[in-house]
Amino acid sequence: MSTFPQLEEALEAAARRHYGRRRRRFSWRPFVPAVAVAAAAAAVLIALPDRAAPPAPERTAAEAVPALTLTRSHALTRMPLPKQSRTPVAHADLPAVAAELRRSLPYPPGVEDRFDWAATQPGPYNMSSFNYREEVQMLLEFRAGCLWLQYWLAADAAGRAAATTVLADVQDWPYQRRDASRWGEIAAAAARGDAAALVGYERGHCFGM
Amino acid sequence: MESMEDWSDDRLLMETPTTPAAFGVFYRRHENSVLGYFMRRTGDAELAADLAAETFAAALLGARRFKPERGEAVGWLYGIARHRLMRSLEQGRVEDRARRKLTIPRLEIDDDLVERIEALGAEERALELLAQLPYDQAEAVRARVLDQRSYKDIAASVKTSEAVVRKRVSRGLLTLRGLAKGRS
Repeated sequence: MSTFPQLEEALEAAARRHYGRRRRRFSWRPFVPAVAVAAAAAAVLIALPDRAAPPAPERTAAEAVPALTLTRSHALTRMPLPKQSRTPVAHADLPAVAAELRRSLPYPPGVEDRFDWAATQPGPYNMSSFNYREEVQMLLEFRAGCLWLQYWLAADAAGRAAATTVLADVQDWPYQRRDASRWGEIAAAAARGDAAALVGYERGHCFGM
Repeated sequence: MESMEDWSDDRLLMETPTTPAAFGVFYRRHENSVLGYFMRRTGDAELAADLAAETFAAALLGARRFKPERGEAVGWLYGIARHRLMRSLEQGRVEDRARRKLTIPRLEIDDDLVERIEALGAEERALELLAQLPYDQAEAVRARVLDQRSYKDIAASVKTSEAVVRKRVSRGLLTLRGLAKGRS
């Protein structure tokens, strides 16, 4: 028996409602002849010289990732978790503490973590509040990982190579290492150049950043 | 005929769109660990329950998109749990978009349930600590303390002497004590 049988029931009912009412999958079969004709016409148009369309803009070279950034990322993988894991931080000091901690984290070139620490809720009894230095570090690490994931998706080959190196480290950064997370899978997808998987991770993992 | 209870997590998720009851089995299988995960991280049973409800609602909405070739179902579920936790921290409130989309009512929690969820948080912590032990010690402590099996039985199943099992349990507990002190 579950702890919340009412939730279990509600989920099952929701599953029936949600999936039961979905429309049947659209079938292209009846339209295949028409689509084939349209595709053939499109192919002919594409093959003709296009005088009206401007040439595709050349991709400008992105700013290179400094070696120091990669060193900083790798150094974090060797940093032990502090024994004393609770260092209180007053709400008013959060922006300054976050700014200080950000200095030891690697960020992609030209990218800043703009999380508004002053706008978080004050008070130890509010779940959204940040009351300890370690909580700030944990969120900063997580967000930095996401920024590298987003950078990978937008970067050129050199940028991707650097981002792949950092993403391989993220799973071993002190506070990401501690918690079960998907950084290992993300690093593997980055290493094999699987952009589609990374888009999925970005949506699921770093949504809204 | 194979019972749904025997299905793998992957299969339960993949079959949910056509067999909605499969999600109920998936929920039952992971409810406690997800509640413990949130309890351990928020320290608040009501928040843990709200986050767990939102996590499972989001998992239900996303079941169709689950791809086993990209990772195990439990990893996928914890990815959602972690994301919900981070989003809630950022937004300053427990996210409830998926729960509202599925019109799942908010959970009512009484003192008994609070106690139960708190216990799950403690279990989660114990498991975290256990994971830091060498494998043979962790298995010995798990079998003796959590599963309450006899030394004799454990020794037989791992094909070693009772004395060795006793030593593993004792060393494991000693290390756990040290770890617990260091992290408290």
